[in-house]
Amino acid sequence: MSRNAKLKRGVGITALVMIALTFWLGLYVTPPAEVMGNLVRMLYIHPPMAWIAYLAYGITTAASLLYLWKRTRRREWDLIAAASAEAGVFFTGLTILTGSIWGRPAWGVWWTWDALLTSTAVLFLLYLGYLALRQVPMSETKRGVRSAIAALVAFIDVPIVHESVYWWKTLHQTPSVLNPSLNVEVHGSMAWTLLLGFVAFTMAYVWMVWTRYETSKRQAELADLEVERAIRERLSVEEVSL
Amino acid sequence: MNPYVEAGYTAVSCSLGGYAIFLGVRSRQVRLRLAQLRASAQRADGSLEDA
Repeated sequence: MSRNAKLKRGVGITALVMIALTFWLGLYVTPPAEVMGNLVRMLYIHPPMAWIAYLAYGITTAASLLYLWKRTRRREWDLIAAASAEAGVFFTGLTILTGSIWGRPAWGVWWTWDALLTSTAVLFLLYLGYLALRQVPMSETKRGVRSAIAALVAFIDVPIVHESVYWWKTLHQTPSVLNPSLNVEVHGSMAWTLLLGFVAFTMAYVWMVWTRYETSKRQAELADLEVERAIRERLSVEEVSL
Repeated sequence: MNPYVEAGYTAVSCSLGGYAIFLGVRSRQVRLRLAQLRASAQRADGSLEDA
């Protein structure tokens, strides 16, 4: 096994152990909250999901910018952007799902057209569109440029999602951790468990993007080899017919 | 335990596990296909050299 593969496996196993530890602490060790009771346990999984979605779209934007700039244009940036966007869509989906499960007992509804929820749904759809755009048959460079531009446009929604709780009157509370004053409103074992959740899911994100990127790179190589093989077969058929 | 909390943790576990399995299987499929193609390309190069 190569050093790279060993390192990736290490990241995967560490993520798995840390997530298991977060779940155990979140479900059995941390105390219930005074007002929310056991429902507070959703706190250890929901905000980390939202954080990973922001991180993933940030990485997609950075990689897209590097791809768009001709001096740094490389296939790798395009593939990293795509891998990160896919993970971002996955975590945005989980953010909406866990938020909805939390919203039912807390607000009495599974879904409401609240500013934060709506802008998050739009974010999910924008990046789904980005992934769909990548499936449209066209040359590699054209696809890379078009999807990079789409990624930059889609990223405009990220600050809107984050700031929506301040700009509009929403049902959703303001962030307990990622707030402008960086005043963490969680303490003790709850804070440590939440922090562990952030690190654990970030590790899982790294493993996902790494695996997806490697697969995409191999798929691109596979496509190149298949073209070469098709040309070789065509040439041999022409030689036989001559 | 609160049933909503149980549902939330179950959903996250299943989704993460499912996506990780999907990524692993897809990666393995592509790796095997690439190895096959590389081997056949080498064989074709070898037969050309022999000719």
